[in-house]
Amino acid sequence: MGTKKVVSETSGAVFSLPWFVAKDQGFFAEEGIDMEFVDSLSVHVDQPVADPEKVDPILGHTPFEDNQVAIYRA
Amino acid sequence: MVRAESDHYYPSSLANRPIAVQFHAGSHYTALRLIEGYIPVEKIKLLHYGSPRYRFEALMSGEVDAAMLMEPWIALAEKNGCRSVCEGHYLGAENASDNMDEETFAAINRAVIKAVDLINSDKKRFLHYLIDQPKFAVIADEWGGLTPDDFHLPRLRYTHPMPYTDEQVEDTYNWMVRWGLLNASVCANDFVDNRPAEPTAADD
Repeated sequence: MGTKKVVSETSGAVFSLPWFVAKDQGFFAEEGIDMEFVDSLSVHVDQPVADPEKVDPILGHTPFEDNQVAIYRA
Repeated sequence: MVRAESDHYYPSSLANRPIAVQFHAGSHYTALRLIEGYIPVEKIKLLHYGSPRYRFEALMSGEVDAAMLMEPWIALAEKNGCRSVCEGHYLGAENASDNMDEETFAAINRAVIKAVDLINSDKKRFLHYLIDQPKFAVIADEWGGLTPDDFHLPRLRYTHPMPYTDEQVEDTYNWMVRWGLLNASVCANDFVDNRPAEPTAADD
């Protein structure tokens, strides 16, 4: 079985924990997946914003939007 | 979460008081779902501060009365005397691009299922991933640090990947439209490609 490269965006470790464990325990490798992680970007504002419409809903998931990664979780 | 010296002990007192969230993320939607049962819509004052670090810092500095946090920030806040006035859970899910083929997605899910089962067999063993993540550790050090014993383990809930039910999609869609978070002219099916998870046991 060949190995397939997958690039995944990670967010907070509480969300990505099963993915980190799956990689470190070799579970992805057992499935023929070469899993690479790319960290999502932190979202910071100079001043707090009260109107949701003034905030880009993409937030820090720009690696996914830019097609650098194939999957992310939230 | 609210600060130790705060007068807030339940959600109702947060009417017209600033609450730090990240708009268009779980902290935003969960805040609305939790607080709308206690406070009239026009008195819910959410403020976008961005990522959890900035919500935590806004809480501890007194800029806001409350902040929506997730672990390990909850544990760090509690260790520093903060308390919860309400708690909610929401479903985290995978968002895959169009070029993710079903075979690869199924293989990923089989690996994740094994990891979920391993985590649930001994959650404390894996808390170092949360404690040591760089974005968190640098701030935690400033606030006394965190150890695995500081966590309330039942808060950490990991389940096998599964698709949303059609009912969940419809109910969530209607809720988001009601709050003006989605354009009502767009059908929910335009947003969700609800691919079924391969029903293979983790030990197959």
